Amino acid sequence: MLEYKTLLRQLCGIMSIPGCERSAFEDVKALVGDRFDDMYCDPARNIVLVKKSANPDAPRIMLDAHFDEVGMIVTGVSDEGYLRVTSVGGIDRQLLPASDMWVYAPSGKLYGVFACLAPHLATDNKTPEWKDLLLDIGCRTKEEAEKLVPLGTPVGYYNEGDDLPNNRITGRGFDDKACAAGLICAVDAVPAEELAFDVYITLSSGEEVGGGGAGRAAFVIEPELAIITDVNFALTPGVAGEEGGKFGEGPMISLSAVTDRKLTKKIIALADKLEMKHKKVVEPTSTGTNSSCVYCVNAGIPVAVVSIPLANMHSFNESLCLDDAEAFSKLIGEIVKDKEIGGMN
Amino acid sequence: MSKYDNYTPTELLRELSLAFGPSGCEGNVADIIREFIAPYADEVTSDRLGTVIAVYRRAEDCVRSADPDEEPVTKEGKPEIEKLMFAAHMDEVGFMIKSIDGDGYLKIAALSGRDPKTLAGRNVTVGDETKQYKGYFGVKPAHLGGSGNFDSLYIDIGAKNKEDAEKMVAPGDFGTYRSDFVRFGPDGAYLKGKAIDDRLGCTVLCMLLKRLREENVKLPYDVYFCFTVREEIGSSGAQTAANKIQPDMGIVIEATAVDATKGEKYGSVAKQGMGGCISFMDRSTIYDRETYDFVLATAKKWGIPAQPKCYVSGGNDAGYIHKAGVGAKCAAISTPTQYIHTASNVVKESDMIAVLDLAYAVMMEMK
Repeated sequence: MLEYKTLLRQLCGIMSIPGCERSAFEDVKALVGDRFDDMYCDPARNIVLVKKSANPDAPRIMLDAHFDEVGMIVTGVSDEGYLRVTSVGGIDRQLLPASDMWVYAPSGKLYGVFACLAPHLATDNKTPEWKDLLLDIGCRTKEEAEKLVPLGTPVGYYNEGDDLPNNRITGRGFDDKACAAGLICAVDAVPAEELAFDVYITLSSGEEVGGGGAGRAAFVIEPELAIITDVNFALTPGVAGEEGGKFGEGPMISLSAVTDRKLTKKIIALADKLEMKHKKVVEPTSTGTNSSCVYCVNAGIPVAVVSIPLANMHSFNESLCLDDAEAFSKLIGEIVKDKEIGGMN
Repeated sequence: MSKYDNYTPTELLRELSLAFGPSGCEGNVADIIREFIAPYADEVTSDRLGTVIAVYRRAEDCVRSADPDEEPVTKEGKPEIEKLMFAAHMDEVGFMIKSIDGDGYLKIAALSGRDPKTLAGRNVTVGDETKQYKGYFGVKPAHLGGSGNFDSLYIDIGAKNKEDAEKMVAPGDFGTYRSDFVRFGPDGAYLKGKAIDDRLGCTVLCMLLKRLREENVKLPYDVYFCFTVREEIGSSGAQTAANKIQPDMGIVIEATAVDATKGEKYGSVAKQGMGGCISFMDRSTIYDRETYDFVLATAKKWGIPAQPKCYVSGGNDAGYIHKAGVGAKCAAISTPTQYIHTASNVVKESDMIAVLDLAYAVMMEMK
């Protein structure tokens, strides 16, 4: 039996900045490969885990969680030996001065910190531009830095994460490994005899850069239906009540014009029947997830979006409540056993 | 014997860097320092504000031949003193819990520094000298507009609601960054951590005292090693310690801001790798010129890297020490530090060693 938090921390330890997802395949395989019937990395850098139902006529369900995480990439070196970078995915530059980074250099990961004028000497409070954000790796000449770090080297957040009270945890990369871990745990716990579907877990590529590897994965898998799982906004100061989920109140289920309402209603009915906590969230024309690149693949795929509330999204210090993540995982486990959901169209 | 006996300066700096000690809450730092210095000091006391004062007494048989009517600085350029005071501050930049909202989030007031850029998203520790809790600064997601100004900052300690948070913290509790201590760069030449300003100074003082004792150095004057409180909010710790000691000379061991990102173009306040920065003037003190010259000359004579701090800014404990009692000659030796007052101060290890060596050489030259 896989333990959710342990698996999440392990997955978060795997670097998967957009463009580098393929390098994660062997690491993921070593962690959970032997628990699935098949596992492969497709040409679009999606990592796919397959678990077949004992019923040879079972329909195919695709459970998607993107595996890429926001990061940066080295674009140059200053004369003084500092690295210049730009974002791969949406990053709030205001958070970066004096923050810790890992530079994934060919020789191994190097510690780096973004230069920052002492706050009491700073003359303005403007958000720095990428060209002004200089990453200090302890090199003081251009030659020294260039020797260690070639252009294009990925850079990611440095933060081991913490355990807080009330089952709250913090760390980097929870978007969207929180869902990836939940899917893997859920499907792993269901014996093939109980699976109502042949399950395809897609740990998809490029979501943070709009590439949406999930669409390519769906094209190959041709699932009868798909559940897109991602993180959503936790209800924290600055987030309006109707757009966020409160910690401890379970996973969120999207009501949107771009998801399949029939499938969504079946999931809500299942959650209600099992008395599982959840929150409905209205996202009219976009869920901000891979649903947009999956639903119109081939002749169209009914999709629903289920999510985990997350605070500080895209920062080096994301935070979630394990109760929500485990409830999410449990709901997924029930969905893949449910013959009602499979018998749609 | 203490567990710190075989610590290198960097190992002690690490221990002190990780300790919780915002201004007004320096007890945990003081405990480490007291344990370290106990075997080496003749006397350890605290003043009423919490500054730790360790004394290394003059040797009875080490009498200076100076004529009492002579000028305080002899013809050889050696200052003549009875009491030398070293000061390094124990406190670090931080903040105070102002209130707890209904959802259990903490609002803060700055103790020093209000730049939301260096706070938002960071890991923090909150609490007091007896109990501390982990937390982090919440930010609005980038998708919804990103982090805001100082007043919109809040801390999440994982509390379910106000009542739950009140079981852990209360208004008036302290907080500061939580940040790993990391050695980095080619050859591991650089050190990164929080509160290197001024735990590095504390480290230097601890190591100086240890060195004097281990070498059984005989000095003709008493040395007071002062680990001061509340420097970041106005140096009241140095003020009271200096009032009590009334030193003839004060030497402040500090961290000073440098910026290496612009290279020579910046006008070079100072450079990392070139040793300690000797101040001639800052916003708190015009330093005694003879002492300034003496410190630089000592560095040259001993072959220890040192450099003038070519920028008039900031201030430190010398601001009060030079005014205590009848007044004291002061010098400040500062380690050039990048990203000061953030969670990630960066120093070059060789600079710390140069500051330690220079402070030692200055004492030897004043024998």
